[in-house]
Amino acid sequence: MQRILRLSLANIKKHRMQAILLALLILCCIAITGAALSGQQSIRHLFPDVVARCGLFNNCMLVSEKEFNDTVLSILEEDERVLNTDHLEIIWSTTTNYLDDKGDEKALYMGFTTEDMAKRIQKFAMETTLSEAEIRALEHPIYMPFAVKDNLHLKAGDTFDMIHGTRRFSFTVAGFYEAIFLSDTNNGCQMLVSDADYLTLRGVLSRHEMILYNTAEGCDTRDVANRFLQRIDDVTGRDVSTEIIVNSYDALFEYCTTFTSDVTSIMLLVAVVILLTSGVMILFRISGDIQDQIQSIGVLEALGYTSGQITLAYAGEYLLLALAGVLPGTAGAFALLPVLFARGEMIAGHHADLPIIPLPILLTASGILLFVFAISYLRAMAVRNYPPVQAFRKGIAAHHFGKNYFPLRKTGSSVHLRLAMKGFVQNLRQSTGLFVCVTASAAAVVLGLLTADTFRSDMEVAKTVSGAEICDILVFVSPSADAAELAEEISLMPGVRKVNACNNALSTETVYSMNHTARMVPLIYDDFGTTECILTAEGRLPEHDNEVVVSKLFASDNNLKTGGNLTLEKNGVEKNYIITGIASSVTNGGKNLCITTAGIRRLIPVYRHRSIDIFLDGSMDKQTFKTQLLRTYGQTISDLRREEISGETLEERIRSQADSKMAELMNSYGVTHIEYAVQVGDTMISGGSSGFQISSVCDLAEILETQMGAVFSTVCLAAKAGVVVIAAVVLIIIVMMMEQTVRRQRRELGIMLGLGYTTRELMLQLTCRIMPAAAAAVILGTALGTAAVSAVFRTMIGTVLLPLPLILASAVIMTVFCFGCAYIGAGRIRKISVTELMTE
Amino acid sequence: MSTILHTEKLCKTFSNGGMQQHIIKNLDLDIREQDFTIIMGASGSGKSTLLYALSGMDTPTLGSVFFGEQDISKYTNDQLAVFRREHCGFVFQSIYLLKNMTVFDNIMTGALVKRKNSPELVKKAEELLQKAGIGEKLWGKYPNQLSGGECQRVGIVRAIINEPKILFADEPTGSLNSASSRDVLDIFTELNEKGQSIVMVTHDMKTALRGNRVIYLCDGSVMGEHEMPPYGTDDLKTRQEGLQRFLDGMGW
Repeated sequence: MQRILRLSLANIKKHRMQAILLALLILCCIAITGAALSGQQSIRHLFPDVVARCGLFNNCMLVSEKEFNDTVLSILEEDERVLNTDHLEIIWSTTTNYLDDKGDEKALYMGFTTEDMAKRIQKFAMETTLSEAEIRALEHPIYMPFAVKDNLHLKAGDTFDMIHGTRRFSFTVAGFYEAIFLSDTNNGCQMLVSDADYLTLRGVLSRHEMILYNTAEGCDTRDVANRFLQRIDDVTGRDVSTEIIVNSYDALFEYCTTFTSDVTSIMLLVAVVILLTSGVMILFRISGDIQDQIQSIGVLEALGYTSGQITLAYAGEYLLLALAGVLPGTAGAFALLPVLFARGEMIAGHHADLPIIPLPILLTASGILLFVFAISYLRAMAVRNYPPVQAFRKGIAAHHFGKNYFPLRKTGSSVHLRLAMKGFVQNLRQSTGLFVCVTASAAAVVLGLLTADTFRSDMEVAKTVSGAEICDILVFVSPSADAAELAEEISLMPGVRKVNACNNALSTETVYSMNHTARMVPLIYDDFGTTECILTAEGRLPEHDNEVVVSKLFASDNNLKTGGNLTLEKNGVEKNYIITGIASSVTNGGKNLCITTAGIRRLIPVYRHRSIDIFLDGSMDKQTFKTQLLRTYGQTISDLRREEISGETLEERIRSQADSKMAELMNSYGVTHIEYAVQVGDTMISGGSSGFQISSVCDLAEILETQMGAVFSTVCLAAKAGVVVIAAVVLIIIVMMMEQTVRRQRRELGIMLGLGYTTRELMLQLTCRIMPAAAAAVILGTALGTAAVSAVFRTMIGTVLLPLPLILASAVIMTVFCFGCAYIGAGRIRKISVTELMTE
Repeated sequence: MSTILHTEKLCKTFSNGGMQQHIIKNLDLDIREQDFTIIMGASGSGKSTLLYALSGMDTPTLGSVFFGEQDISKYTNDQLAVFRREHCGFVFQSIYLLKNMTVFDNIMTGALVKRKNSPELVKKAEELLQKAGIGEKLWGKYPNQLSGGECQRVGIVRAIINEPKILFADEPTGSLNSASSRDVLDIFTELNEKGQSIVMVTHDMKTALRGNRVIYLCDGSVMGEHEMPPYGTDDLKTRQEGLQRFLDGMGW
């Protein structure tokens, strides 16, 4: 055994650089795989840990003030799986913004409550760097969930400006806390404010009732919520459930793990590519070493070593290399975990002491050790094919008898290219190994690049797969306003490129389908030809009043196809529609339904558009346009609700008061039309809600960015990191391969140098020799990667939006990169001295 | 005859485990054009080292090697490669044919490094192979399918196809039997008769007889020189005795 170990160590010492590179690959593979597998397990403890530490209830739902009553609560309590309930008032708004560090308005759903009220929701552990005296001295203190700290990069003592309409509310961050519900930038954040501030905000923002409830352990909390929503619609006979936001335990748990799973999936993909390429490299190296050292093998066999011992020596060499990679690789996996946890916690909006689970890391290390030993042993068994005498004679395989490909008498313009092609066909085995490695790497690189592109920070791609029209400004019109008429007026404003009166994806309008089992959100446009972001994966968008388009997700869940029928129902009216296409949709859980205005009026004859999509032409920024819009059409109803009573004369003050009251009624209670008449002495002051045009204004792109920014940046970062790692792997593989080639052919290369070929010419020849395989592999890998992304997009989103220039550019860059790596690797030729060769 | 190569205070030192070995010491030497120069000496006297330094295969530790007016000892590796392809041809004891190439491709590998392919070049390669006694049926064979003598003749054709100004040979008959050696030496003699400058290292007296100038090296320095008329123009016995006397005088 000692002798075998000595042989293995001697081999490693002889090819030190290659050994280091191979150990590095194994290190990366173990670190990435171990961290991904262990991280996946650990992150599953995040939400349960938060609930265990802070939980009083493990589910909650927000019901708008106007819809909450005892019946709602009793319907929930009817379910035997609901153990106990509680409820309290909370302020909640989806039209709130905040000012970022550049002073720009950004959308963020916010809820507000006081510390005392919040103690009924959960247990608290505040985190702050301010002293109690400093906090007491704050005029408008605010405590925020960790998600705000992590995503908005705020710290205690910072100013936080909440914007609602045209009003600004400034707070000072007093600290942060672990929020179980409303704890992330996607679903919104629950802030804790002082009693006085709460009272102020209570008059401005929508009031909701937060229903808290515990469910029996192990029950399907999603099913509890779904059954509740269905029952409440049945009991009230109205479509009430759109006024209810449910945060079930299972949904919150899944939210905490989903995106970490995406990141770890990317890591595992990278690891598989590294493992595959390492395997191919080991196979290639061993066969090269055996041919290289065939005479030494013969000597060893003649000295009495058995072929089994020599095989073990080769396998031992790679086992030692793997062991060298295992220790730092395992350490690397443990080192990567905190990074993974930090991103996972940032996305989930929770902080926890996540357990480090060593078993997946140890299993990964053992598995990779076993893999390396197994493939190296199997390949090294080729030693048995060489008895001593044959080995002494270098093996018949070293002799050439075959067909002479690319004869030099037919050389064209470049002898170097000819010699390279000659080398290529004479080293097909090497080329095959390279082809496999580069194909896998190219596929992974394309996958990574397309993922990074899809999740890039400007969200341009995300907009096109959202399934909704992501306009620059979305205006919700007041119930009494005519959206079409207003849209026409807005289209004449400076800076406007296009407007569409519609029912956008943010609307609360819903219709039922599938025998009342599915609630759809209709996207209603007069002409879908004017939309920009709603795309079909197959078929076409609806044109006539009997046509609809459903999402890919909904179609696959319900086995619907283009050309099929869908029955929609609203308030007891049922109509049949033809499905003309399948659209991409990642918003509204894939329940978006595209239908024309004429189509929806078959179902809802009184339907009127409630929103206007505004697209700007780029000559004006969104904020300036928004200011102009409000200057032209007056403040939004949301703003008017809590507008200070102003005016110099009595009539002005009365009108201001009346406006505020009307806004309150329309906003909070769904009142659609108001007229008033007030008599003061002989003066009659009258008016109505017909002057109110705009209900609220929001920026969909900003909402998308705030909600998905952290997720997108994490996935994008992971994908980019994956691309970099794979590029490094490709570099290592090609450099190793070239070094091996130079080592094996040093005699031939030395002769060529002697004949007058320069090192640069020989480097070029060796580089060109691998290029046919590398280029073909890049093409195949790019095609496979693109096909894989297409398949994922088709399955998950329904639309394939592949940036062809990016794909082509990546293929070209990868080919050039392979060329560069090979040229660098071939630089080892410089170490070949002609005289050394002549005198050896 | 003019000088084609000359050295000035040429030194070559090898370091081995901290020990320095001075193989060539302050050597001043002229190699004349169209001469068939033979370098002889005992083992370790620096014959091959001198040949490699003269041919640009290796760079001297100190001193200079001039090819005409150009000091090639100052050249970079790639400049030396270009110098070799433009002006030199090499024939070695180990032959050094490319084993993965056919006979004809071995010749073309040497030829195409200097000039572009053309029907004339192919024809020239064919003629030279024929002249060297390598028949057409061997052109498509690989080196391992040829005898040692045939391989060496292929090596000579590869060395001369570019019409080098100077042909270097390092014990070209060292691994051949006597019949093959004679054939190979006849080729060298014929080339020299046509004006080819040749520098050959050998320790074989029969081989040395083919030259017209014998330089004897001892411990890295020229110990003595012996001039002879061109081979075939004098009595062989007298030539042999003269060379024997010279070598005896050198302590060979």
